[in-house]
Amino acid sequence: MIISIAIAILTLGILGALFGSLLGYSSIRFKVKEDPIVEELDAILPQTQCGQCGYPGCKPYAQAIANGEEINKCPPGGQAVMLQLAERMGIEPQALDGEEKPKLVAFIREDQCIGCTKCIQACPVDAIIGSTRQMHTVISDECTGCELCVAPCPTDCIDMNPIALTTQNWQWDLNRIPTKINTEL
Amino acid sequence: MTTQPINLLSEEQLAQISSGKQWTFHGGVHPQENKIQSSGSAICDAGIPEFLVIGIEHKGHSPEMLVKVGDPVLKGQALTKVYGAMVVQHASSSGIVHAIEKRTDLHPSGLPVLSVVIKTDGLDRSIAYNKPDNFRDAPSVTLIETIQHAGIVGLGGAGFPSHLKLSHSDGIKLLIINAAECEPYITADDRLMQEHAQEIFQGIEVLEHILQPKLIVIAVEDNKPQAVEALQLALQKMHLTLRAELIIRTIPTLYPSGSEKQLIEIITGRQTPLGKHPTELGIVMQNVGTVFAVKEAVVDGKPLTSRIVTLTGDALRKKGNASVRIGTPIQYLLDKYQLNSETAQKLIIGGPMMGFSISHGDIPVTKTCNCILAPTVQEIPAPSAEMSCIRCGECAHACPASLLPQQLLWYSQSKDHDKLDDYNLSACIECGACAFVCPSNIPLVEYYRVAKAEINTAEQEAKKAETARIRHKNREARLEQAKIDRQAKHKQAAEKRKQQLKEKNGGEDLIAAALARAKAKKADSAAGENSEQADTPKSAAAAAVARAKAKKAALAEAASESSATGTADKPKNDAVAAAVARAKAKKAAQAQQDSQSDVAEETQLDPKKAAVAAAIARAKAKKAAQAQQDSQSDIAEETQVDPKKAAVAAAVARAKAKKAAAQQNSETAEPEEAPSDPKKAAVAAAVAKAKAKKAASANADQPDNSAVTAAREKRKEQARLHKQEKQQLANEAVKNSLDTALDKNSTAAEDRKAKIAAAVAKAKARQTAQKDQ
Repeated sequence: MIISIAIAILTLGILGALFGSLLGYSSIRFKVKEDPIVEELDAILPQTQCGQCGYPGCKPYAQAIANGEEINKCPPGGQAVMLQLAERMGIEPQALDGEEKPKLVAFIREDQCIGCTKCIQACPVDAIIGSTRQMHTVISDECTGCELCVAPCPTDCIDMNPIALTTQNWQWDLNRIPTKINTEL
Repeated sequence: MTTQPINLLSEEQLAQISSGKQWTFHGGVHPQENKIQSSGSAICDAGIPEFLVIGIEHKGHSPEMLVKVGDPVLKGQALTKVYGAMVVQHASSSGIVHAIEKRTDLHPSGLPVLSVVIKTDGLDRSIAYNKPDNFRDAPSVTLIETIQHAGIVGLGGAGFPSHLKLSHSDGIKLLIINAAECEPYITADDRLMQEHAQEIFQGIEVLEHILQPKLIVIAVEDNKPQAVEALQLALQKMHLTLRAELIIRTIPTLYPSGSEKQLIEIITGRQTPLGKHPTELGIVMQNVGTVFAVKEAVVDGKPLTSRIVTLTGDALRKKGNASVRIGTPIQYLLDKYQLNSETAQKLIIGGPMMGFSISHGDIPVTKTCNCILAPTVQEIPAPSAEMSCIRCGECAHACPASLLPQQLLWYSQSKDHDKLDDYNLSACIECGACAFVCPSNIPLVEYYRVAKAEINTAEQEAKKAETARIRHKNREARLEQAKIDRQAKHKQAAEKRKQQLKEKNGGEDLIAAALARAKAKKADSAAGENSEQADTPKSAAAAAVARAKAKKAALAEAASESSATGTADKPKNDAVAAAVARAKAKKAAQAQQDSQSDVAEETQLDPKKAAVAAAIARAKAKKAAQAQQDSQSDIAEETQVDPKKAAVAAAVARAKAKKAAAQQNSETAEPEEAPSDPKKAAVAAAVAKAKAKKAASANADQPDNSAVTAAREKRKEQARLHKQEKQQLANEAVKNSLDTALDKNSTAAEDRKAKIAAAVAKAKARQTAQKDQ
């Protein structure tokens, strides 16, 4: 009787030690350094780095969402991004907190620029070039339209323009042309 | 054989092709051809319109211009420089550059692109074409460059730059000349072959020299027997010295056999893998019109300045093919071909299957425009109403790319981009066969075009977001690094200072020494406590407090008199203040002495100490008062010079002083408001104000605090009023400066100055507003 109990305890003990060490090893060997969901959420966000969500960039907001922050705080991403976030987080979509605006790009009226570099310091993606007392200009391809450069400008010479419609970004509309003509049949 | 890349055509396959074997592609449709209307008459010259509009922008890129407005140009003169892979654009007739501006492009969007507008002179003088030597002696790189400089793009419809296609010449086995012309109505290539067969063969010789293929196939649909005949006749007449085998292959008429991938399948039986280029199979395809242009460029030295355009459709009284100068307005051609315009006249560029409609005729002919179709309503009726998909599967049968158009339709409608990718939307050639067979009149291709554009946009945005993410990350890293560097630098500087100090004091650490002294003192006093009364340190502390109080009182006295209404008798007041301070200090010292009197018998040292402290306090008070006096004498001077201005300056300074110590040393000069030494007065007043405030708050429990408080309140009120005034002034200054800036007559330097002044004024106004809040 005692022997069988001892055997049971011993067996379970060995098993416990075995699996425990296995788990312990795995937790070190397969350790995930960063929560991968943050990366995924960051990839969904539009990367304007505008701070409209109240966080200093898209990554911090992604981190915050992972920690339970609301998903509706990204007006540049709009409804589409919110829905993607809802899907990824497995939560109900929420009404967007803020207004969805068309995509904009900053433009410096260069004759009014006094070269104060304030906008350069404000730009989160280094899309403005220039130096002290020299005219500044926006690299429009790199501009995310975050509007962070507008407020610091002492001469109010930065405009936010809608992105011009060109043959490159033009979308087909369904004003279709006839594809049906008289057949021989 | 085994060393060849697996994708390349094998010798057996080439042998099969040359032996006459033909394949076919999946699906395809037979739309009514409607080619007879235009195929009968010879190509004529369309003539010279008054204005030629030559678009030079390509995919948002504008090359460097070689001409400017007002320059005379000749036919064939280059208008642009080579820019990247873009071809050069040429003037297509002689005249004067009338404008370089945005004009509507021949594109379904109808959006404007940068164009050169030439006002023609009707003389059509051309540049002296520089006929090259025998092209057979030239390396293919030179010929490819010549082709780029001649502005040759694929004339079949897509407009892909030909030199790019030709520059992948390694391992090319098969050159296919695309003369299928499968789209209904269009007969431009048909007429070209009938009339210029010999030139086409010359062009083939050039391409053969560049590409060195083993086999050349000219593919012609069997609905163009005259063209085939003309080619064969020319071939017999010419003694071509080709190393490669040349075959004229008649293929069955089936739309869309003229599409690159479908024609390759017909000729070789091989499908071009998705996302691969035919050159990877060792195949290059060129349109027959392009071959003609290559001949003109390489053999005759003529750049591409015109192309053959089919003008057809029942709404045109005259029909046929015309050699049209690039940039000719379509309206000019419609007038020439006598458009019998009906209401809501439809204009289709390209064929009825793949073309697009344009809304007006004020659009120029481009290099890719092979047909202008002006149909009547009977000919091409308005599209019937779209109905729901009945899932008949006809579209899947017709699709030449073996896609599943139904699935693509659903996912296009639901904008499911992942699924569209799964179903290979990108393989769709937009031939329109599916829509052609659809019994529900669903414009399938339009849905695909929309979806393709959306996917493209989404891809662009994803790319941009990724770039932005990386740039933001790099910036953050850079700022972090800068911070660390700065801290390290500060630390280093501090160390250096310490080191220098140490060296200066003969290697002795003063701070350490001071600390040691302090410790020793403490130990001493601790030891002294045993023998002396506990009152000693207390009395010393009391003396210190008295000193501080005396100082503060002196300051308060001095400051309370430094109001804006300050008059010339300030020094007197200050003297009084100093006297009061002295008296107070004395009193304090006396009190100290009194408090110490009971312990005087025990320690004779203490009263002496207190007296010394009192003396120091007096001296300090005196000094403070003197400083005060100095600073106020400035104001007094100011007052005498211009009391009003000085008062303004002082008030400004008071406003500044509200920011207290932080703002004390800031440059607060207000150039517009106090022109005569305002900075000094402002700084002095700011210091005075800050001191007064400090003193007032410290003296809150002093008996004379009511007077100080009253004075402070008064000053506050004045400052507030003045701030408003100042803000107004600042706002006006901003406005004035902006006005000045906008003044076109003022010089650039003045402009700049005014702007800076405006910016400063604005910043100040903003600051003041913030302070008010």
